[in-house]
Amino acid sequence: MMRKILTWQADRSRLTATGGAAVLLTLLWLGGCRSVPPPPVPAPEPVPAVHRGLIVLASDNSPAITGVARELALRLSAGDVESHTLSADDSRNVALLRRVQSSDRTRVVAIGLPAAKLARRLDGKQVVFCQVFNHENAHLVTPWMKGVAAVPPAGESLRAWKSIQPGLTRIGLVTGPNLKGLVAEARAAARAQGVELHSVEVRTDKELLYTVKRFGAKVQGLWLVPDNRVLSRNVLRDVVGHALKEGKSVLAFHRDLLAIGAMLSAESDAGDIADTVLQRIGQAGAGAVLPGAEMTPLNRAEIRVNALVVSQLGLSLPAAFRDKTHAH
Amino acid sequence: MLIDRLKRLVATVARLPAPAGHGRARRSLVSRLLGLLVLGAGVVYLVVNAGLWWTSTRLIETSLERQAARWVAELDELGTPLFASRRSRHLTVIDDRIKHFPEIAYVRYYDAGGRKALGHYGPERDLDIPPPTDEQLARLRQMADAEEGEGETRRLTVPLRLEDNYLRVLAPIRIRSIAQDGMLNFSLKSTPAETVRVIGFLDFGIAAHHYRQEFVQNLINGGVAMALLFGFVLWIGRRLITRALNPLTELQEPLARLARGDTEVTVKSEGDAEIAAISDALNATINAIRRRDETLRDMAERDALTGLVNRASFTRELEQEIARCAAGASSAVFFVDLDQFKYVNDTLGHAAGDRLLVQVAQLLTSRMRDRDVVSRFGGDEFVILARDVDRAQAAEIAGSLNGLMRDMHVIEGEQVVNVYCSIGITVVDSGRYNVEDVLAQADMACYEAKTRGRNRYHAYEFSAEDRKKIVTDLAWAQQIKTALRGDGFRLVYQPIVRLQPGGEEYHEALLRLRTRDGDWLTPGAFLPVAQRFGLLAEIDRWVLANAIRALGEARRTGRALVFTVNLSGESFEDPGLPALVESHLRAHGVPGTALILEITEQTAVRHLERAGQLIGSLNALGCRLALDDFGKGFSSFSHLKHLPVNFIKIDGSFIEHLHRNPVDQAMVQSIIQVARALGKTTIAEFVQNEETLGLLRRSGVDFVQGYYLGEPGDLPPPHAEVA
Repeated sequence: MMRKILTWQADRSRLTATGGAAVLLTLLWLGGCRSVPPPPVPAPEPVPAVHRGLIVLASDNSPAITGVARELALRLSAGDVESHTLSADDSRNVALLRRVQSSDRTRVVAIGLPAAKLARRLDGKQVVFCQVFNHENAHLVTPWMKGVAAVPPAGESLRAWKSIQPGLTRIGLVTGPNLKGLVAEARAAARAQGVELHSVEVRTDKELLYTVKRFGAKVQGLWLVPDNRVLSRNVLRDVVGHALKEGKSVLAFHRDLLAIGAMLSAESDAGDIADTVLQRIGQAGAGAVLPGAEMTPLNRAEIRVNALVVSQLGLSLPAAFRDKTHAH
Repeated sequence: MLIDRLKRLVATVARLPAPAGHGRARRSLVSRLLGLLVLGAGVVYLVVNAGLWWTSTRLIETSLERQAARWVAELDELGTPLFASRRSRHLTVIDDRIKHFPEIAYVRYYDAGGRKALGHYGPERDLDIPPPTDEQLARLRQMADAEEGEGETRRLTVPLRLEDNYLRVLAPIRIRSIAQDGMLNFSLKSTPAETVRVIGFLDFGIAAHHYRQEFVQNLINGGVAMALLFGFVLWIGRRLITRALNPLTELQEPLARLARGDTEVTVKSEGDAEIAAISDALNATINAIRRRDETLRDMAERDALTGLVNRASFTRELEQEIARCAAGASSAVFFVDLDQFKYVNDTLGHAAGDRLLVQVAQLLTSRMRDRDVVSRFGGDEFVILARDVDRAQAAEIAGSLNGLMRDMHVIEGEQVVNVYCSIGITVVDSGRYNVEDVLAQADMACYEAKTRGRNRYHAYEFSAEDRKKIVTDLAWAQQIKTALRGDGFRLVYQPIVRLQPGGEEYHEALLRLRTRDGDWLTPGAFLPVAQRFGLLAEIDRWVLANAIRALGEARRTGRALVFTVNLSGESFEDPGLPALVESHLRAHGVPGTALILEITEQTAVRHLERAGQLIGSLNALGCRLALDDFGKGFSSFSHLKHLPVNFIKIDGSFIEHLHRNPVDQAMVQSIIQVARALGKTTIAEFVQNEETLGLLRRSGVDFVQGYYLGEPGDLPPPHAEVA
C-alpha cells in the first residue's frame, strides 16, 4: 500500500555560532513566540574557541548516534574534536573512560545513553549528553553534566498537528513515570494551541493499552512519546490501530508508526541536535560546573504526515504539507 | 443363450411349490431390494452421524481453542487494573463481561508468583481449584518468554475434573517494553528484542458440560433431521424401486401360470429396456414351448401318417363317452379294417399303401361329423366314435362308409385299385362295458364282417361265443399287463455267430411269456392281442430295460457281449424312446455300441421319416440298428440307401430252403452283395443245418443265427467260434 508521507521541516531557527543569538532564540521559543518566521540562514562562522578540544563519545554506530556525531564534525574542524565510540567490551570502555579522564580536554559530548552513563563517571569534565530518552531514570543530570532533549519541541509538533486537524481540542498523553518535564512541556504547548491535554501516567505497556482503550470520547487524538518503559511493538500496533478504528488521530514519535495508522510523526533532527549541543557547550565556563538548564530543548521538529489517514479522518491536508508529499 | 436361461428360469419356476401356502414363503425381490435400501440407508445414516459427531467434536475443539485465545486476550486486558496497583480491588467490569458467557465457569488472576489470587470472578468463582502447579507455572513462564509466532498459542489448556468436566485454561500475563535505548533507532520489526516480564497469571475454566449439552442437543436435532431426510429418501426410493420393478413383479403371475403348464399366457413387454428384453424373451420362450407342446401333443395324440387321433387319444375320448352314455346317451363305435390293404402294400409298395391310408382317413373324416372321432389304431385299422346315434343310425353310417369305400378308386400309375372295408359296429348305450370291452366288441364284429365275405358291416350282437372270445382276449391282455408289472416275462438269448474269427459275442434277446401252467410262450402267441390292446410299446420298454440290465451284468463279468433287441412299430410313435434307452444305458454302465435295435423292414419303411429320426437319435447314443426280416414282403433295395442301419438280417424264408433252392441262393447272394456295397453287415437267420451254413459262409455273410447254431435260452457261457 502506498502511503503518502509529507515532510515538513520546522526550521524555525538555525543556531550556529553565537551564543547570544541562541539564548535569545531560546527565550523567544520558551516565550511562545513560535509564530515568528524563521530568519534567513546565516553564513558559516569560524569555530569558537570554546568548542576546541571537544571529546565526542558515541554509544554505538547506529544511525541516530552517528548522525549527530557527523553533524558535530561538520560544524567543527578536524583537530578540535576527538571522537570515540563505545565498545561492547566494558573493559575497553573503562580504558576509554580513563583516557578521557586523563585527557586535557575538559568538554565532553556524550551521544546516547551508554555514552552518557560512562561520561557521568568523569570527574572535572563538563559534559553535554544528547539522544537520551528518559534521562531521569538514569539520573544523568549533575552540576557538570547537562542534556539536550531527545524529542523535538512539543510546541512545534503540536502546532503541526493542530494545523492539520484544526478541530483538535482534546488530546491524550500516556507516559511512563517520572516524565514530569516532558509532560509539562507538552501541557504548555497544548495550552498554547488551545488544546486540552489529558495526561495519564502508566507503568506498563499493558496499562498503556488499557488506558488508551478507556479514553473513549475524552480525547480526539493520542500523543505517543518515546517512553521505552511502557511501550512495546504490539501495544503500539494495538494503540494506533484502536485509535484509528475510533477515528482518533495519533501523533507518533517515529515515522514507522505512520505505516500502521498514525497520522503524523515528529522526530528530532540530527543537525538541530548538533547545533543545540554546541550551543550548550558554548555556555560552559572555566569551572567544573556547566551552567544553565538541566535539559535544553530542541528547536526543530521533522514532521511527516500519512495523507491517507488524514483523508480517512475526514481532514484536508494544508498546502504547507501537501507540496512536500512523497511516497513512502 | 437368453432362451436357454429363460428356459432354466421357467423350469425353476415350475419346480417352485405352489404359491398358495405350500412350503416356505420366498422373499420377493422388491422386499429384498427395499431391505438392502433400508440397510444401506441405515449404514449411511450411522456413518454420517459418526462423521457428524467426529467433525462436530473437532469443530468444537477448534472453536474452543480459538475462543479460548480470544478469552485469554480479553480477560488479560480486563484484568490490567489488578496489576496496576498493589491494592486489592474487585473489577465489576469482568463480572459484567463474562456473565454473557455461561460457559465460563470461573476466572482467576494470580500474581507473578502464581500463588496469590488477585481476583475471583465468574458464577463458579468459589470452586475449590488449586493454584497452578510449579510445573505449569514454569511452562507458562517459558511460553511468555518465547517470541510470538504465527498461530502460536500462549496458553495452557488443562482438563480439570471436579464435579463435572471443566476445561482449565492458564495463561501468563506479561508486559513488554522496548530496551532503554531502543527508542533511538526505533523499528516496528522484531529487533531489537523487547524485554518481557510476567506479572501474573490468568486462570479460567470453561464448563465443558455446557458445550456437551449444546453439542448433544445439536446432534440430536441433526440426527432427527437426517433421519427424516433419510426416511423421505427411503420413501422415494421405495416408490422408485417398486415402480421400476413393477414390470418384473407382474411377471410372477404369468410365470406361475406357465409353471402350471398354461402356455396360453402372454407377458407384457413394458418397463425398462432390460425388463422389456426379458419379457420379450419370455414371450418367445412361451411361444416356443407352446409350439413344442402342440407338436408333442400331436405326436402323442395323433397318427403321424394320417393326422387322425391315435389309439391312446381315442381311448380317452371313448372312456368319456361311455361315462356320458351311462347317463342315457347312445353312441356307436365302428371298427374299420381295409380288405385289400395287404395287396396294395405288396403290389404297389409301402408308399402306395401309405397314400391309401391317408386317402381312407380323409374319406372317413369327411363322412363323419366334427363331433365324431376318427382314429387310426395302426396298420389298416380305423376306429370311429359316432356320438348320439342309435343302432339304426349306426348301421346307416356303416353302410354309407362301405359305399364310399366302394366308390373310392386308388390310382397308382396306370393301375386302378378298388379298396373295400369291413366294418364292425357296437353300440354304447350304457356304462356296462369298459373301453376294452367296447373295442373288443367292435373288433369281433369286424372280424365277423370279414368272415362273412368282407366289404360289409356287421353289428355286434351279444353271444356267448363272442363273449367268450372277448373274455379270452381280455384275459390275455390282463396276463400281459400282469407280466409287465411282475415277473411274467423273461428274456432268452439266441447266439448270433460271427463267421470271421474274433470280435464280440452277439446274442438276440427274445421275449417269452409264462403261462399259468408254467410254460413259456413265444411272442407269436400274445403279440397280436398286445397289439390290439396297444401294449406293444410298453412291452418294448420292458424288453429294453431288462435286456440292458442283463447286458450290464454280463459285461461287468468281463464278457464283451452285444445284444440285439426287437422294436415294434408302436415304439416309432414313442418320442421318449431314445431318452429311455439313454437312461438305462447310463444306469447300467453299458456303452451304446453294445446294443443293436432290430426293426422290421416293413415298420421302417412305413415310418420312413420317423425311422430316420429315431435311428439318428439312437445312433447318437452309440446304438446300432438292424433291419430285420429283410426281403420279406415288398422290399426295395432303394430303401437301404435311405435307412442308416448297420445290419441287415436276411429274412428266414430265404434261408430255410437255401440248401436246395437256387433262387433263394441267388436272392441271398444279391442281398449280401448289395449290403456290402452299402457298407452294411449281414446276418442270416433260420440256419438249420451244416449245408446251409456252408453256403452262407461261401456267400460271404457276416453273421449267422439259427437253431443249428444255438437255441434260445439262458445266456450261455462264452461259445467257441464256428469253424
